[in-house]
This record gives sequence, C-alpha cells and structure tokens, in this order.
Amino acid sequence: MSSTRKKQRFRSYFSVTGWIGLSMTLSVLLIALIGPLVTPQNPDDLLGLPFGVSQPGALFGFDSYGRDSFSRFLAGGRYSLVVAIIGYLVGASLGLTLGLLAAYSRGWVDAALAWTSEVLIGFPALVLMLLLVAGLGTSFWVLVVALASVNVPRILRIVRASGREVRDAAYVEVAEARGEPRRYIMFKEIFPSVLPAFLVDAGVRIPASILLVASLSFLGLGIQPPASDWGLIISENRVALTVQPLAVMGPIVALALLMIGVNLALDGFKGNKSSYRRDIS
Amino acid sequence: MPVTQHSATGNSNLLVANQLQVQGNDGTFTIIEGVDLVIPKGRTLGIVGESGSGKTTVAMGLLGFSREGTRISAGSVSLNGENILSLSPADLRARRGRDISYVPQDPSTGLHPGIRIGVALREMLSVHTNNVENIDARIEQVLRETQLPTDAEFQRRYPFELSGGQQQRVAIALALVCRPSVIIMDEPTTGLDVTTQARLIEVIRDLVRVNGTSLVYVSHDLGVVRSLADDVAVMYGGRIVEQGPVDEVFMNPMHPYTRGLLEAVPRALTKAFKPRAIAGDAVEPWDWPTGCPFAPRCSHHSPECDVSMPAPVWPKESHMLRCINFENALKQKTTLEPVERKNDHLDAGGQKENVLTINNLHANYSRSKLLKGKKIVDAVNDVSFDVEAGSCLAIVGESGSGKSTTLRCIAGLHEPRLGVMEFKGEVLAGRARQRHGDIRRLVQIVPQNPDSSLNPKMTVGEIIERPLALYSRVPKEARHQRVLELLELVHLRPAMGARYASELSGGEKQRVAIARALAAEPSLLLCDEVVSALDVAVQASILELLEELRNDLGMTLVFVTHDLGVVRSIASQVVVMKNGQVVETGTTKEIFENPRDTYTQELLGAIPHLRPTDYPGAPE
Repeated sequence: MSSTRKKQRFRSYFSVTGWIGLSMTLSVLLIALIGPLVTPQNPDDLLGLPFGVSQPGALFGFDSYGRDSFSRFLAGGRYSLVVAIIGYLVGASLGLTLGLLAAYSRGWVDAALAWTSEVLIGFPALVLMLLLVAGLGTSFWVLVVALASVNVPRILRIVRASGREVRDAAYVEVAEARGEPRRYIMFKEIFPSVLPAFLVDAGVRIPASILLVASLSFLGLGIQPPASDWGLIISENRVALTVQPLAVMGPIVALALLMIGVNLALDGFKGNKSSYRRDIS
Repeated sequence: MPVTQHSATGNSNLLVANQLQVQGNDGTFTIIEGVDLVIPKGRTLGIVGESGSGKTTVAMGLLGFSREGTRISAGSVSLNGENILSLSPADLRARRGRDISYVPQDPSTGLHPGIRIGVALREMLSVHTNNVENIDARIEQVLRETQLPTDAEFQRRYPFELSGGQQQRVAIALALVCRPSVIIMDEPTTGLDVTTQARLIEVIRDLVRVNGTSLVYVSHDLGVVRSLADDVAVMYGGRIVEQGPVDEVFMNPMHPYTRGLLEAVPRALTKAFKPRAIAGDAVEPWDWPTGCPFAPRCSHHSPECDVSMPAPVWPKESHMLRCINFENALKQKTTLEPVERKNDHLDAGGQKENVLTINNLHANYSRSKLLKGKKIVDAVNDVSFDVEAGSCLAIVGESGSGKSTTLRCIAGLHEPRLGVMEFKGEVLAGRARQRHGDIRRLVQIVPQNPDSSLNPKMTVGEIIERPLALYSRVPKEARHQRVLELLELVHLRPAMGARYASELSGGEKQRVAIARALAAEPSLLLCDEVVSALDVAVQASILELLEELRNDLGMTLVFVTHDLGVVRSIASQVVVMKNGQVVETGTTKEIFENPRDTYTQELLGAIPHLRPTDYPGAPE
C-alpha cells in the first residue's frame, strides 16, 4: 500500500513525457560530468591519421589532428555545460527577483527595470557576449557573467509581464493589508502564478544558453584549443562531415538530446502538492 | 404537455418549449429536463434560480443553441408554430437575430471589441433584411429607443469607449434592431450599478410595451424579475419547480424551494428581519438525485420524494408546481425573526465606545500623464464617521461614490491625502506596512470578489494558515488543528482544507476568505461587498455567519454594499455616500423609515425590490 502511494507521489511531479525528458537530460549531463574521468585515450594525444575512420580502440575514429574522437567527445562536455547551467541559474535567479520586484513595485522601480532590460535586449545575444568576452577574456566567470547578462533582461521581462497580471488580485491586496513583508508577497503570493510562464521560458532558455556557449567556442571565443569542447569539436571537424561524420556526431547528438530533454522535462513538470492535499489523498 | 392546465397553444403563443432536455454529449449527465414554457405575445417571462440551476441553458435552448460539450437531446422549441430545432443550421441562423434574439450576460464580452457600434448595427440589419434604404433611419430609431445618443460621432465609437450601462444598451439595441418578436436576455443588468440598473430596467420595460415584443428574462435577482416580468418560472436542479403569473408566485409561493428563496432575500421595504438561508448546497448536474432535486435540502422531505421527479400539479389554473408535499408545506406558517438592534433604542445619551473614528478623510487617485501633467481625482472628500464597538456600520452608495476607497483607507491599502483615522485611540498610519503588528492584526479585510480573493495556487488550508504564522499567535504544531477549528467556525468541512480555490463554489470561497480574516483574531472586520456576487440563498447564509461571528466573538463590522436590503438586515448604522461625500448618517431605523436626504430617498426608490406584500411578508 504505502509503496504504491510513494510511487504515485513520486510520479506526480512529472508527466510521462516529463520523465522521459528528465532521463534524457540526466544521461547527457552524466556523460558530460564523468566523461573526462573515463576517457579510454588521452584526448590531446595524436594517435592516428587526420579524419581516420573508426577502428578497434577508436570507436568514433580520429579528428582533424588525428586525436581520438571518442575521448575528445567524453572530455568535451563538462566545461561548457557547467558554464551554461551556472550562467542560466545566475541569470534566472536575478531575472526572477528583479522581474517580481518590477511587477510588485510598479512606479519608477518598475519603469527603470523595464527600460534597462529593453535596452539590453536590444543587443543580439551573441553580440553582447562577444563584446564582453572580447573585452574581459575567456575565463570561466567571464563566460558565466556574459551568459547571465544575456538571460537576465529576457527573464525579467517575462516574469514582470505575467507577474503584473496577478499584481492587482484581491489576494495580493489582502496580504498587503495583513502587513506581509515584500518578499513574502513577491515569492509566495505572486511567484506561483508566474511559475508556469517561467518554466516554459526555461525550456527554451536553457537549451539556448547551452547553444550560446557552444556557439562561442565554435567561433573560437569560448574555450581555447587544445582543450576539448563540443562546440569546438564541431567547428574543427565540420569540414570532413562527409568523410568522417563520427567525429562530430557525438557532440551533435548529445546537444540535441539535451535540448529536447530539457524541453520535455520542463513541459511535463507538474509541481509539488501542498501538505493539506497529501493528508487527504 | 401544456403549461397551463387548459391547453395554451393558440396563435397568441409566440414561443413554446416542450419537454426540452439538454444533456452532455456523452449522455452521462443531464443539465435541464422536462422544461415546458409558453411565452404569449407581448408578455415577459422571468426565469429565476441559483447559479447552476440551468436557467442559462434554458435561455440558450430557446434559441436552438447548446454550449460546447452539450446537446439538445429531446423536446421541441416552436417559434410562431415552427419547430426551430428541426431547421437546418442555415435556416436557424436566419431566424436568430431576426425573429428571436439574444442579449448576453456580460456586455464587455458580448460586443466585438474591434467593431464600431454603427457598423455592428448596420451589419445586423444587412444580414437579415433586403430593405436597404431605411437602414439609417432604423438605426437612429433603435438608438433612440434604447436612450442612446443617435449622432454619427456616437455610432463611430468602439465598445470600450462606452460605460457599462451604455454597452448593455448597445447589446439590447443590436438584439432589437431587426424587430424580433422574442428577445431573450440573460442577466443583462447583473454587474451594473444600482441606479444604472434601475434606468436600464425602465428602458427594457418601455421597449417591450411599445413594440409588443415578448421577452424572456433570466436572472437570479428576484427583485428585478418581480418588477419586470408578467410570468415567472422558478428553476432548481435543471427543472422548473414552480411556474405562474408573477403576483401569484411571489405572493403565494407553494414550492418549498420558492418559499426558501423568498425567505432568503433581505428586504429593504419591510421592517428588518433575518434572511433565512436554505440549508445545504445546490445540486450539480452530475449528482442529481433520482427523485426531486430539492429533496435533500427540503424540510418537508418524505420517502416518496426520492422515488422520482414529482409530476406537475396545478393547485390553481396557470399556477404549476412540481412537489408532492406542498400542502404540508403550506400548513407550516413561517415566522421571520425581526432584527432588534440595541442601537435602535439607544439614544445619544447612552454609553458609546468608538472603536474607529474617521475625521475629515480625503483620498484621491492621481492620474499622471506624461505631457498633460497630474490630474487629481477626488474619490473621498471630507468623510467623517464613528464606529461603535460591537456594531455593524454599513456604507452604501453607487459605484464611484467612494465607499470602497474609504474602506481601503481604513484597511491601509490606500493612503489618504488628508484626515485622521483613529483605531482604539491610536492614529492609523496610511499604509498597512507602517502600522505596528497588533493594529495590523486587529483590522482585517474581506475583499469584494470571491474569485480573486484566494490565491489559486494555494490550498484552502495554506491560505488560512498564513495569518497564524504571520502573527505567531499559534505555535507551529497547533496551527493545523487551528485551521480545522476555523473551517468549522465558518461551517466548512475539514476536507475543504485540501481544496484549491477553483474547486470551491462562490459561497465557499467567501467563507474561506472570512476564515482567513478570522485567523488573525481581528476586532474590526472590513467587508467589501462580500455578498454581492453570491446567490440569494448563499448570501443569506453568509449574512447569518457574519451576524453570528459579530455576536459570538464581539467583532465590529464595517460593511460596504450597494444592496439596501442587505443593509437593513445586518447593519445597525448606515452611512450613505455620493460622489465621495457623506450625504446622510444615521441608525438603520432612521435611514429606512425616515430618510431625510433626497439622494437616500432616490436610492431607496431606484432599486427593484420585492413588495412588502410578497411572501413571507413583514415580520411581526
């Protein structure tokens, strides 16, 4: 009895497709995180012919310099995914807080935040990142800050827009009349109604963040060679796509799975149930 | 089966519904069943009932229409002797608007926001008539009939450029423009201001009289139906339970449900009495009992009631009802409990302790426009009054009178420009957040609209628990228990704690909002139109609850409303407001029996009331 109930509770957080998406996401993340520890070859050693095809010991063949493609694939995911995820999380927490603040405060606070974010959105994402990276270098935290500065204004705008819809609801007023602190009203009364829009946005924005970091290394402004990176791998080996497709297949498939997975997982997220709800069922 | 005992299928009957039934598409639930209606030429039929009783479904069924997911599964509707349910969709479309038209409940969604009024009227005419020359003249005429401006400038306006009352008149003009023989109106005055409503009812009454149009008027407001209709049908649980001429049904109701409804209406024109709520909840289409739908709530319930739906009986010609035990019900004499307020006897010399004192309150909304500068709109202008401990003070007035703004100032939601508010001898700060903890706790507000007063993402339990945590009156372990006690206090089942607001009825939502306010253990409860969105029977039960809480917990109430009947039944003192100013203050008795100000008299006259002679009459 209790185990089936537990199972149901466990299941209730995500829908079926949500669970599929979550497992896709987690498996790619797992590969990216532990990949560098289990490479069969040293990813930087020249071991075969440039664009040499698959052979025993080199599952995915060799890349443009004759390095083992499989090992480079395993080693190349961690850095940019960590940058993308931290960059997204920093941007999301700031964008969420400022967006709720803008929606709740109204007046000049709202106007200032809205105008600033409009100006920042005016810059194309990649241009803004290139600007920062060109000026400040390609270190880990510069990449994180660059990505966050792309995400903050966009998330702010979405949170602000859907927060404004419930800003004037009677329950927010009742909370004000009760003398609730600002943060309670922002995060407990308004945020739950913003959450669906926020999650839909996250489903687009997390993959976009990963893609941005990958694009940056593709352009040569992210992670520097000879370090291995999925974006860089695609950039270096795309010329031989017809001869040795396996050299780029790993990163391409992994990135695709990750993006679809994140999307499915966030679409299928159903959220937590209140303690009052659990007592009854 | 005819509606009157003697068959009524002569030529004078324009619209006849026979055994109309509407079911869900899969047939698993029935929304209305066995509905027989006869609307003779030039007469007005009122359909009354609580929400969920199926009255809107009937109204739409008369147009041969059923909502998405439902279908008309049996019966016939004949218009001028022609069964419109057997017409092809194209033929039916041709009848609608020309021979039979519809005025929807909410004019703000009933009119197309992107079409100018003149264009909409013109289109309606051009679809249905070939006579092109007289279009302009007809439009002008119909605008004049609905007492709207007829000039070209007005016709060029969009719906959003009109007031609510004007929008509804445009909707009526649209329904009227092709001179249909029958108009069906679904709660057209609900949501409008008291005096706007009164004027609109005047307009409708004149139109019907002048044009000889038949009207079906659906409403939950018994007073409106009383003042407008010739015949009335009372619906409950998808069936017509009582039907007859309006005088007959209102003065001699025989069905226990009709009697219950009439006992629940607070009256403004008779001596104050306690409206009596009908026990239990209204039935939903998916859990209809096999027998009489009202049986579970009926005090004259007998085992036969549960066997099958009672057949129609005619105690008098043209007075139909569906009840087995109505003779028993008639024998029981209803006595209403008059409300005796201590303030009624209290003279100026008596002991008074004021909880709240408002002195020269001014409040305004400033509209700043970028180039035009600041425009200050005075919403409250020099308002003063006192509220005695343990009393109930009602603030009445039309919308825009400043009554809600006054309440919001007291609640700390709107900062007054000038003036002093004193609560128990302490000056109240303008914003709730600037007030110290205990004052914030002691003044609680129950907001107007039950639909937005509860956070849709929280369960009822969480909502009620929050004030307990905020004011830390109850230790953490005991909060769950306290929530259950509060639910019991407002007469809700403990299981309600697990529900979300979307799973509650309007009355239940309002009870939760009250429980949330009570969780803070306030001494002053501010109620902003708390019953105006509710059905009569539910309204009576909320009024009962508030009265009970005031007596048992010694709370003071400030009650904002536009409903004078409600005021008379609950308030001990009344403040009448108009355009931001207080026009009259006094005890309830003084205001109702001896109004001095002309505006108060106007207000008393404007509202469509039940008559003093209507059942159950004035209390002894």
